[in-house]
This record gives sequence, C-alpha cells and structure tokens, in this order.
Amino acid sequence: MPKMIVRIAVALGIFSLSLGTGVRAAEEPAKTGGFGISISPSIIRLAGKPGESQAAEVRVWNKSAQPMQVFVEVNDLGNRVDEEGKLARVFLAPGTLPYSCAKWILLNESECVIRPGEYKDVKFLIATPQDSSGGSTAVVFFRGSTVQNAEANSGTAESPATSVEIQPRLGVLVFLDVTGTVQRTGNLQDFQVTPPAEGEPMKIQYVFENAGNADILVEGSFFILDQNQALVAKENLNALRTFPGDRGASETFWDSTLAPGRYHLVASFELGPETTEVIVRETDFTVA
Amino acid sequence: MFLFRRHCAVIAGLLAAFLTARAGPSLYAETLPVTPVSIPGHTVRTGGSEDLTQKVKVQSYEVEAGKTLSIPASKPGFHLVKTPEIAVVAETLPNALVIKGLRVGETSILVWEAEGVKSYRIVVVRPRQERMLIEKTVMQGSKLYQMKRARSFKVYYDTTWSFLNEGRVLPRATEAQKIYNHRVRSSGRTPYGEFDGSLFYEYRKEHEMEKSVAIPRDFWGGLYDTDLPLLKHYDITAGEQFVSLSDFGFPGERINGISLLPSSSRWMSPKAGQLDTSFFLGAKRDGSMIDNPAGIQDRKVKGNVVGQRADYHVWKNGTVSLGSFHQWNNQRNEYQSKNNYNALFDFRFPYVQLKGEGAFDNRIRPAAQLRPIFQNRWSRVEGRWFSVDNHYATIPGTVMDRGARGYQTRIDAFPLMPFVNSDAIMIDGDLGLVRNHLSVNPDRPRDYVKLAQGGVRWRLPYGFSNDFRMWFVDQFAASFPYTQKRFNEVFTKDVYFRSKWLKRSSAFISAAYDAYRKARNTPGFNSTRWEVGSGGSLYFAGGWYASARYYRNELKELDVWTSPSKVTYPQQFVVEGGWTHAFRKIPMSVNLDVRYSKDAQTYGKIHQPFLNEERLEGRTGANFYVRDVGSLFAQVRAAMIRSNIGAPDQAEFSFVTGLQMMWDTKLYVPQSGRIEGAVFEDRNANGMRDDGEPGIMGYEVRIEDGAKAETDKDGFYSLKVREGQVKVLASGKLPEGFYFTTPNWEHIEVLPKTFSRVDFGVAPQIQVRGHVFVDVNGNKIFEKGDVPVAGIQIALASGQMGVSASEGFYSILRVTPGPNKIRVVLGSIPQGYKTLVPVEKVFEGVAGDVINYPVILAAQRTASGYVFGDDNENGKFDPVEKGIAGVKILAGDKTYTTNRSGKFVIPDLAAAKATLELDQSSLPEGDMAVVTSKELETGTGVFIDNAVHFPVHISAKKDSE
Repeated sequence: MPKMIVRIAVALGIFSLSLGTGVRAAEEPAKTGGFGISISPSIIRLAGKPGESQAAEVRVWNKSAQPMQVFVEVNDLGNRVDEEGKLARVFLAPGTLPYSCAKWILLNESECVIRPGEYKDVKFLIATPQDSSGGSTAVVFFRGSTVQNAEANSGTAESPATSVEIQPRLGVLVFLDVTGTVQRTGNLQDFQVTPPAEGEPMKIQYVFENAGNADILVEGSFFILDQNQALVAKENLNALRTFPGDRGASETFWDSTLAPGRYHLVASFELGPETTEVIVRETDFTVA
Repeated sequence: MFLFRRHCAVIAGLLAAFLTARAGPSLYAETLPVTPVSIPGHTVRTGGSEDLTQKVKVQSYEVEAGKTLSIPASKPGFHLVKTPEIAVVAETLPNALVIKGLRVGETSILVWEAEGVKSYRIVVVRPRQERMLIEKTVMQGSKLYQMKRARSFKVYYDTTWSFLNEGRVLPRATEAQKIYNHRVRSSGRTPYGEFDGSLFYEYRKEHEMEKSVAIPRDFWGGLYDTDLPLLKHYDITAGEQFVSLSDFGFPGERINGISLLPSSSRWMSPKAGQLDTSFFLGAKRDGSMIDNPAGIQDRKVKGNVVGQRADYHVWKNGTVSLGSFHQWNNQRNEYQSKNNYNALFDFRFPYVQLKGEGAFDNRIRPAAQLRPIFQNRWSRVEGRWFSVDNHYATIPGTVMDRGARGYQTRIDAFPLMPFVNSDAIMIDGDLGLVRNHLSVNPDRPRDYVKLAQGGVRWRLPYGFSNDFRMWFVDQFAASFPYTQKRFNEVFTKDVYFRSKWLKRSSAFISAAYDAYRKARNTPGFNSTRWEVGSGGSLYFAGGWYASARYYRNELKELDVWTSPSKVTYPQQFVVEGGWTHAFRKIPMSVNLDVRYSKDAQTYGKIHQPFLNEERLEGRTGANFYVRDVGSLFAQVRAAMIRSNIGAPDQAEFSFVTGLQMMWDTKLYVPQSGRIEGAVFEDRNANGMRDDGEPGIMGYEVRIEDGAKAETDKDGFYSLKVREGQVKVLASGKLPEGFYFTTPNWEHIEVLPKTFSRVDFGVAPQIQVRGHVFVDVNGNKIFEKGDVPVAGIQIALASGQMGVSASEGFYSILRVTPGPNKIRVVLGSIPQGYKTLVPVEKVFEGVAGDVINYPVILAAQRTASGYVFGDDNENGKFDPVEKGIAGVKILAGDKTYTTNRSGKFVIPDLAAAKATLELDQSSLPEGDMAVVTSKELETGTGVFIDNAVHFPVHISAKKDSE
C-alpha cells in the first residue's frame, strides 16, 4: 500500500484555508482556545523608498499542549470577483499578481519548532526593487503542525504513515507602500439605496473601483436626515478592502425602522488607510 | 465552440476572474420619486444623478482631549460628525468651525460650506501634559537618557550649623562652640573623564577662646577614570588629598598638590605587559583625612613631597612595582625620612595570592613584609611575616610595626559550607607571634608576645543564635608584661509576632570571664572579673521600641594591698525607648529617643567595666527631604550626667541643623560613539556574513543628515556619530543585479564611547522572465490576435518557481548567478496545447542578467472524417457505409488523401477559419460528391472535429457491379 497521508485542513474561523474566510482570519486578532497557534500582529504596513529593504517581525505563539512545527509560506494577496460581483479574497502563488510584493520577501526561516506555551519571533525581509512604485501586498502564512504528526508523516515504504491532522493556518497581511508614489483614489459607481419595506431591511449597495496604485480600505458611513433636517440614523457601512484595479460591489443591510416619509441620505466613503480622499454621496428616498 | 470555451476557461484561469470582474454586476436600482429635502446651509440636492457624488480632499487637524480648536471655514452650514463621542462641532462661526475634542480617537466631519462639501479628519490626542508625562516616562526608560543623566553636571550644597554646649546648664562650663560649614561639590562626566570637585568652607567660633576662624577647610578637584590619549583610566586630582601608596614606602600623607593614580577600572582589569604609573607632588599638610573639629588646626603646609610608583603587570595577575618618595624643605624629626624606596610584588594564582614589600629609608634601614593568602569559597587564611628596623623612618613619620618582627595569621571560615552549603556557622581567629625591640621585657629579651583569639557564631533553629569568643594574650615579653584570658558568651532569641501592635521581641543572656595576671608594680591590674547579663527589646508597630538590660559583675583584685575592698560588684542598668517614623503623605521622618543608664559600685577600678555615672539622655530630630532636590534636617541632643565617684555633675546640649541640596543642571558634554560594519556579498542570501563572503569596496554608508563613509577593500566602514538616535543607511547605489538581503537602514541608539555593528548584505541576482501565449498564427511572435495564458508554471533547477499572470507574463527574481536550467511544468499546460519552444533551457547568467524564456503555445486544431459512399443518401456517415480510398482533400495549400477506409486526417488547420475542399477529380469515375467544400470555424484555441465527412453518390454502374 502506497504511502498515504491524509490531511484535513479545517477552516475554522481564524484557522482557514478557504479563500473567503482566510481574509477574516488575517484581519482579526487571532483567538485561541488552547489549540494551534496565534500570531501578532495580523497586519504589517511598511513604507519605504525604492531599493530599500526593510525587516518585519511576527510573534508566533504555540497555544497547544504539544510542540508545534510551524511552516512559513508567502503568497500573493488579492481579490477575485464572485458571481454576485463582490470581492472575495484569494491567495495565489508568489508573483502572480502585478501588485504583489511576495516575491520580494526573504524569509529568515521557512520552518521552526515552538514548544508549548512559548513563542518565536519570525523575521522576514522585504527588499524593494529599484523600479518599484505604488503599493504592493502579500500574505505570510504560518501553518502549524504538531511535531509528532510531522514525524509520523515521514513514514517509509515498509511502514507507511497515515495520520489525520488538523493544521491551523494564520496569515499576516503585508502592505508595502513605496514612499511618494502611492495614489489612493477610486470611483464610486452604482450607488443604490433600497428603503426598508414590509419587514425588509434597508439596503445600501455600491460598486467601488480602485483607480489608484495601492490597496484601499473603503470605510463608509451614512447619515439619514428627515424632512425637518433632523438626524434620524447614523451607521457604518461594511468595510471593503480593494487592490489596484479591483472593481467590486458591497452591500450593507440596516435592520431598523423608519417612519413613512421622505428622507435625505448622505454617505461618505473614506479611502484609507491614512485617508486623504473622501467620496461623499447624497440621495433622497421615500419610505412608504 | 464548446471546446474552445472550455479550454479557454482552463487556460485563462485567474485572468478570466480578473477580467470578468471589470464588467462588474449590474445592481438593481429602484427608481425613487424624488422631492428635495432642505438642508440648511447648503444647496439642496436631488437624487438620481451623478452630480451627487463628490470627491473631497481630506484636511487633517489635531486637537487635545478637552480642548477646542478653531478650523478656518467659509460660511460653514450643515455638518455631520461620524463619531461624536470623539469630537463635536462646538460652535459654528461665519469663518470658522470650533471643534471640541472629547476623547482620544479619530473621527471625520463633513461640512457643507459655501464652496461645497469639506471633509475634516479630526485626531483627538491626549492632553499635552499627559503626553509629556508619557514621553518623559518612555524617555527616562532609555539607556541613553540614563547615561546622559548620569553624566550631567550636578551641584551639591551642604550646610550645617551646629551649637555645642557642654556644661552650660549646670555650673561647670566646659566648652561651647558654634560651627558653620558650607560645602559645595560638583560632579559630571566629560569626554575626558569624570569630573568631581569640592570646596569645604568652615566658620568656627569658640566661646572659651573668644576666637573665630573662617577658612577653606578643603578644596580639591579632579578628573577620574580619564579617557585621554596617553592616560586612559587614571585619576588626576589637584587640591587637598590623602595619598597612600604602600605600607612602608609611603604609608599616607595629606598633601596640597596634584596626583596621578591608576583608576579602579584600570587596576581591576589589567593586561599582561601593562605599565601603570602613580605620581604625586605637593606640600605636606597637617591632619589626616579632615581637620579635627575639636579645635582650630594649624593649616600650614610643611615642606614638599614627591613620589612615584611604577607597576608592571608581568602577566594579568602578576604585578611587580618600584617606588621612590622624597621630601624637601621640611624640618624632619627622628621618625621621618628624607627618602624612601620600595619594591612590591603581587602574584595571584587560583586559591593562592602572594604579595610582599621591601623598603628602605635614606639611611638604608630596611622594612619588609610577606603576605601569603589562601582563599576558597568557604575560607580565607591570611598570613603576614614582617620585620621592621628599630629606626626605620618614613616621610610622613608613621611606621607600622616599627622595631617589630614576627608572624600573624588571620582565619575566617564557614565550616558548614563545603558540606551543606550553609553559612549558619562562622568562625574567625587570629594568631600572632611578635617581638618588638622597642618594647622588650629585659628579663625575656628573646621571647615573643603571643596572641590567640577566636570566636564562633552560629544560628540555631527557632530564632536562637549564639556568639562565643575567647582571647589569650601573653605580653610577658613586652616592656609591660602581663597575661590576659577572656571568654565571652552571648545567647540570643528573636521572636517575630503577627500581632497588630507587637512586631518583634529579642532577649539575651550573657556571661563573661576576664582574668589578668603577672603584671608587676601596677596595683589593681591583676584581677578576675565575672559578668552575667540579661536584657530584652520590644519592637512595636508604628516604629516604637523599648529595651532594658542589666549586667552584674564580680571584680576581684588579686594584689594583697589593694583596698578598701578587694571584691566589688559593678553593675549597670539601662532602659531605653524611642520612636522613629517616616510619614507617608509628607516627605518627612522624625525620631525620638530617651535613654537612662545607671552604673553602680564601680569605684574607679582599673578593670571596672562601666563609666562612673548616672546618665539621662534624650535625642530628637526631624528630616524633611525632597527626592532629587535635597533635605533639611535638625537634631537636638540633651544629656544630664551625675557622677557616682564624686565628680561634678554636668549637662550637655547640642543642636545641629543643616541643609543638603542637589541640583541636576541637566547640562552634559555630548560625546560620540561609533557605528561600524561591513557591506558584503551575501552569497547564500541568509542575511548574515559567513566565511568566504567578500566585502564590497567603495560603497557609501551614511547617517541620515549626517556623516558618511565609504567601505574599504574588505567592505568595512566606520562612522563616528554623536550620541543619540540616528538612522544609518546603506546609501550607495547598488551594483547592477544586486539586492539587499538585510535591511538597508536601521535606527541605532548611539551611546557614548560604544560602538554598534550594522552589516549590510547584498546578493547578486539574475532575473528570469518571459511571456506565455498561444501563438495563433504560429509565427512565434506575440502580436495582435495571440492569446496570453495565465497559470503556466515555470520551474528552475535552483528551486524557484514562477507562474504566468493575467497578461501571460511571469518573472522570477532573486535567482543566484551560475549554471541553471529552466523548464515548463508540463502538468500546467492544458490539454490540447503543445509548445513551439523547447520545454527546458539551460542558461548561465551573471549578476544583473535578465534571462528571457518565452513559453509559446500552439493550440491543437485538427479535423478528420470520411469520404464515403452515401448509400442511403441521408448525408450522414453510417458505419455500414464504405469509405472511398485515395480521395484528395485540400486544406489551404496542403493536400491530404483518404486511406483505405476512406478516412482523412488534417492535423494542422488554420486558425479562425479553415476550408476543406474535396478534389472531385480524385473520386472514382462516375462518383459524385454531395458536398465538395466545408467551412470550419477553428477559432484561436483548441479545435478538434472528427466528424468532417464528405458523402459521395456512387455511380449506378458501380452499384450494379
């Protein structure tokens, strides 16, 4: 019987191998429950001149009760557009995406062993080429495997190894801005407001196009004013992280009620981080 | 077309995803009836048109929490605050907005002004004082700050005013003094050493003498632990100082002058071959360390002295020294020498140290000593053999053991330590055999004075401890002969309490025996004394304490003519109480102490153990202190003394108050450190310089806005940098084809006289890149109509991989120069495609090379079918129908012929559109093709059609045959 290794990678929230939930795992602080690994920080944002190289460091904790072998992997970080026109996070081979800095990342070590309850500071270097400009992105994944399983997986032909393992994987999003060349600008398209009606929540949809050369985190909010110019509601829109060239939709449901009447809505979209540009959109709507 | 679409989807892969994203979804938009809503202060807008969207540049402002900020605005009207918990618009003015920060955070405010919508980013920060406190706390934690603080010049000022009156209260006046002292001292670190200087000024008035004096009592300044070109780690001092360089050569003298002595750091860390010099020059000065405050000193200088000593470290722990000392213009007495010369050695080995000194004076009278020392973790034994001439003299006039010779040993040990690693028992002892030629018993001229004394202290469980000591002195060889034996025992018990009031108690009992014998012609000297004693102390909460003790002796004088009583019983009773307290809310401490003692039956005997008095004494004082600034103190002491041997009663009173101040000027002399390192070729790109990795010459490294340097032939650079935070960066232009394997800049905290190492690694690289496309027309050139292909994997023998991206390009960086091989991962090529270039290529590049390896694909476009006799004339090829051999099919400029079964295969159709024509003339005679031409939409991708058939009507003649 040929060597058979069965690995089940479980996408459990932060331990995600799937494309969609992996984003969430990377952007939220890692939560642990005595299992797997945790990392800090979850986002590294660097800025430098072309030709510069910069060091970054991630602290990886072994939260399990066993020694953990941690593999470090670098991928491109980008979005794809799903069937509904929304952006979904993808992690691709290094150098696949034009705005990738994954291929500039030099890992000090690609794997290490961390004892239970201890941590290790994993360092890596980003050496920016002389001809680089704009913003670039990558994701550095830390994949944990118990040392016992790692050894068990190295079975021999005479003694084939079979193991079932749950491998936690956490990603650190890496953003690199080339100083003085970054342009964060974009266009708001197809802004739509669907008023609440018959138990249906109010829906705000828009399409954002990243027309710059760096990642943009669109953080929106909206204000609803009644005909007496009184503020009746204020809420944030779902944040949308985009990469150069992305064009994707976002929708936010506001599950609240409005009395019948006419309203004026002002929505603002801050193009961050370090917002220098805001898109303001105003519209009127009626609640029947 | 189906096949084409399917393969395109596979090939294009990710490209398709991104391209389709451009199209985006078409969101359903509800058409809303629009009626204007009036918003004060800005133009009313209506929905449904693009003019409602505005791009606004954000203006950022910072305001402290709890404070307001005025932002210039042009007729501001309506506004919206994203997070009003962080900041709000407190007031709207015609030309400004007043923003109030509420809590630390960030928010944005939209304001409709006359010119349109404005967006303000408001960052609310901590109040300035809070930020300064945080910055200060962080700053104070830095090593650089602490070093600056340690080096800053500080000024100390102490002043004391004392009033001493002894005997004023009761009639017998003895002495009254007023003393007023000022002492100013300054210290700070300079680049050349630690400066320290002091001026001690004194005013003194004596009532009895009706005389006062005001004079600088001492004045000195020096540079310590120097860092001078030829004088590293020396102490250079000028002014009044006490100089002592050896026991016999120059035992010690107070001088007004200069001295140069090795600093402790130089002396503690010698190197083999190191030569240390000690030198002093000055005028002799009366007194020892400081003047005696009991009277007015004669501060005149008395002649001049000069001396030097050279210490040569033969090896690290082996030193030999030579010294010479001289004085002139000085009236000398018989104990003082004009010159002294000495030689010393100090050899240290594991567990053993041997040192000695030999000296002679200007009349060649010798003095010598040898000190062997044995020492380990738990014991130390030091011996001393010495011999000093009867008339040996030194420049100061003091000579240790003049005229004596003998041997002494000192022992200290923890005997339990080697066994149970405990210091619970400690023993010590002294043994001595000394003959002093200046004090000899004429009856025993060749005997030695013998001394043996020792003791043992040990801690016992439950708070018990014991201290036992004994002495034996045989002075029979001395000019005043006697012997003494003494034993002393003290047994103590400490008890700690958890009580609210009582914290600790301590009790002791003691016993002693003391016997003097063999004394001659000294009535009352030969005696025996027994003593027992007991006492205890109580320590209460709040700093209160009380104690009492009682001793009773039996003193028996042995000389028969001693009277009136040969046996007396001296006693002492002491009771004491007090309070010490440090206040928590105010920086102040106070103390109060009252002590009463009464001695009884002393009778003024020679060996009676107590004073002949009854004494009541009280002390109180207060100390007010401010951290890093100083303290103010006052102490009052009063005592009443009544003699029990008939002396007049008397009283004492003193009052001392003073001020101690410290002022940190925060001024310091900036110093420099060094940043050194190398720029090297990191051939294995591991970020560290390994053996064999050469340096890069001529590369510029600099401090941002500061000094710069170029690397030498070994790649080494060195920058002298003033202390502080700096950014050092590899600023030169990288050689073509190189990249950094380390950060090319680093923040360094430069500390004075330290160096930091920062290496910069660069590695050569070549770049491999290429374009992956489907060459539609097969000319191996990418041109319009050719299709880029994403997702094709390219692998290098060196391990790196690349994947073609959306436009078909791939790029592999950081490829190490040298022989290598690139290949296409065949599994990544979709079915139906072939390569028009070799699937692997060997190359060898040097740094900076760009290796181009295009992957040109060609889609498979084939067609096949049968030319067959359509017997049933249905136009379709049925299996029972026979093919016609030898029929020619024309495809473009190529001709294909059907085989025996009538099948033809055209392997390479033209892209887009291909026409197959049947050559009617190649059909058997009489046969007639139903269709002679077929148009095929081959497209640009894979095209495979195996059902391109040509039906033929067979002639009737053949049918009949």
